[in-house]
Amino acid sequence: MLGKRAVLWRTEDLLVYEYDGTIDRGAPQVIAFPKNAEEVSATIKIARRYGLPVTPRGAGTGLSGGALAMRGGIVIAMNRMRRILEIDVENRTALVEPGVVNLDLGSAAAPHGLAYAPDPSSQRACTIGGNVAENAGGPHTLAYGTTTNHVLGLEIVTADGEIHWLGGPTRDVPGYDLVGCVVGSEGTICVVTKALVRLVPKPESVKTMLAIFDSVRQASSAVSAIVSGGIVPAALEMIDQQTIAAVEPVLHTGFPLDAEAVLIVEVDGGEAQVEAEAAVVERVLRQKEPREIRTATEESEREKLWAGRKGAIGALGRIEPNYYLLDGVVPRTKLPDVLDEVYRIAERYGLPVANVFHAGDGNLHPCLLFDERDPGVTERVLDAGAEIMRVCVDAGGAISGEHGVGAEKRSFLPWIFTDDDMAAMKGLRAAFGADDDFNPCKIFPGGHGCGEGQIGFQQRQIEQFGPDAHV
Amino acid sequence: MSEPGEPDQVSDAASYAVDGVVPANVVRPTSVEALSAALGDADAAGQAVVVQGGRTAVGIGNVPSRYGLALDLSALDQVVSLEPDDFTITVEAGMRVSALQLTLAAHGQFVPLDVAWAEQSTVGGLVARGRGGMRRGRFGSVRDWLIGTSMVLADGTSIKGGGRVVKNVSGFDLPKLFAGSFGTLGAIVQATFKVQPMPAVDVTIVHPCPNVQGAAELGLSLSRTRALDAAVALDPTSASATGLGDGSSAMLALRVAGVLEAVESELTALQDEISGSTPKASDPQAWQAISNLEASPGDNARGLLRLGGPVSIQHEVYQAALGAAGDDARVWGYADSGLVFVSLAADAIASVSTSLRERFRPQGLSVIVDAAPPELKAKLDIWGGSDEGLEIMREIKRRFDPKATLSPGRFVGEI
Repeated sequence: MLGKRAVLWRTEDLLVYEYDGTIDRGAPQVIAFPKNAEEVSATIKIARRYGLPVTPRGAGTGLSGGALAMRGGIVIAMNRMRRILEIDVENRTALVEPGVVNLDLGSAAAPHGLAYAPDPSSQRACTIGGNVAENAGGPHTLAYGTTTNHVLGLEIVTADGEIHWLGGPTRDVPGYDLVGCVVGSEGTICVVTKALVRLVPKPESVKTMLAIFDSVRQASSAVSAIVSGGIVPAALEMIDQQTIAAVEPVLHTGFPLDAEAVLIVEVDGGEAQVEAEAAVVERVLRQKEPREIRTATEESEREKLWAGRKGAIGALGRIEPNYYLLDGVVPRTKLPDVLDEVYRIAERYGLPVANVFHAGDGNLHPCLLFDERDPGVTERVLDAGAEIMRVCVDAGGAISGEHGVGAEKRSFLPWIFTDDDMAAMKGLRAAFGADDDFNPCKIFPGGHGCGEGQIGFQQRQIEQFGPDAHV
Repeated sequence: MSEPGEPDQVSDAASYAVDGVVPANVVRPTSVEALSAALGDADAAGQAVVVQGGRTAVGIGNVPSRYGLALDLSALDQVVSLEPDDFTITVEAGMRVSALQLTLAAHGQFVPLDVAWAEQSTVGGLVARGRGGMRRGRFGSVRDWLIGTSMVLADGTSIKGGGRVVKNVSGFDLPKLFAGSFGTLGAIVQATFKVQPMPAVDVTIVHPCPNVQGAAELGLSLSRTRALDAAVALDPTSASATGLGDGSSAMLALRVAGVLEAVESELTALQDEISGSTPKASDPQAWQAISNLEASPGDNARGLLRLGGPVSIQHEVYQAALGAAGDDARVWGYADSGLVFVSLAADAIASVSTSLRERFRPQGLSVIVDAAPPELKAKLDIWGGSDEGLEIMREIKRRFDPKATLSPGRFVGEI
């Protein structure tokens, strides 16, 4: 029905779709590549007829197992739905298909003086559909918000194959905020086949600073101090020594190898505003006694800093072939204590840990580094990961800030939600018609045939640097 | 005084009337447990419930098809958790919006949400409406600042969604579902917001314009090049009602806020484009007065239409509204975000709302009748939504409130 070239079923073709850069694996029987909502609907209906589970998939860069076919079945891949259908300059919106790559949307908006604000580090590979599913963030969410703040309308296909439009050109559409329910639902409620997103004006001026610290604690306490100083920077990122050791030799960003931590602080807006805010940021930073503060004066220097930040996770492969990325969120003031605890836990388990994260949002990304060929190491990684998650929860935080709970962290959901909370959430999912065959074994613990605790203890080696390695 | 946990029995049921329907009972719980018990009991007894706070927006929606119990949340008005250094606050739903802002102001912070009658309006009501106000072009609406909620469902079950961190994808985003649900899915009992540092400088510029549609056009075009917190177009009557004009001309009111240097630079740039206008220190009362135009609690004699559409059709919407609504209509709006309000004679509501919907539906204009005399409501399409997504909404309602206990019949599609 979709045509022979739109379906993969040979074992060797399917293999690459078993992974998404997490420890878990899920092997589909078939991959379908529909090109519009009608074909998605037809695919879903076929799956239902044969009782096959359905799992939507973008670029597979989510790092929480969200795109894995945990019980096999059909993977609906968005690779052929990658058109930017409209950029409406006057209303500052774009209508796109789900397979559009995040960075490509930004590039298409740029000539009009506009930008798509959410900018995950994997933006060269990750897609808008996947961003919608995971409510993706990125370094600039501190000032601009996450994906949910930027999606106005969605065309969706439900688990029974019906096509609906949700939301509209403004937030004034009467009725429940179904768009808000779908964004961040990790592809477990429906398949998104079009998204109407907001574009924001590109700032007139941008200033990016690099603050170099001799202690992680100093750096993390500077994070709170900056925001308490009355400025909400556009971005406020932290990179620790382990990460610098991986990034610097490859990307030559100028992060000193002997620094314990660096902060990237960016302010944007009108020129006068940027100058004034940068002065405030610098004054606050100085009080925390950094070794050095550098300001990127040229656009090329700015780009270099961001290349270092956004390429960091990919570069970790230099240290160990595998990593396990955690995505905990804590109240910003808890960062210094929680970070201390993260290092202690990693040390106790004998695992190197690299921290590179959205400090301004309190969104940690400890990456536990390991080599899956070492016997027993994967279990240790998972145990250490669970302990770190627990520390985040105990600090009043959450188990995912932007990557989603997915297959990987679902056993932790009861740490923050009661059975009643989860029942209400499942009720919402069921109201859209999604049952256990629609993207199964995600977000919520348990579930028929999900093989609780039977996580595949293998992960493909990251072949090269950069997020594309996970596609 | 009743004991903590004991519901106050309020005798004056008439003052809890909704659209002229008087409830049989009123409960004003002083604890979430008491609220949960009262709601669960009503649900079990098949008694319909209208959850309410400051009653500034309780008139929005269809006439309730049944109404047995008024559940007044205004006694649940405490700060649950104030974390100035984390830029978050959690409060009970009955807290007045003005009290929320005052609490934050003591720490140099605020929630950038505007609401009509902030001294009466409660946080729960703000969330249940889920709307943005005059600064939504810059700051968005309730959904963009609400990071967690606790709710009590119709059967008395307590649930929560979101959390107290500013970034979160742990479980489904129930706060988004409840924001803007107009009390039809559960009683919102607590809300957590992320907050903003207060701007160092906050300035108002008022600029006379030949007419309101011209003011809106100018406001929109300025907002495309300058950093504005708000750009409000007011017709002469609205301008004088808010104290921003003397009634002789339409006005454009601009709000510019931020660090001193940034505001100065914006003002200089604006002076080139709207010469002759004098900036002055922002007058919170005038801005509150503009918000207050959005609702006339207790007065349903006139109609109020809320028109939300893309900014590209804003000028045409003004023209059409002014042409259709009659000479005594008042028209104003938030020019940078495409929101237009029309206050009009009751007998014009039906024809004006219908003609605007027919003409602008293809471009995505939403026309909501926010106020109308109750006796006319049965003949009006209050929400004017399409059927798109309606079946899903009905199914959500069935799952969260299976007995249709909460504000039955009042919402879109008679949910």
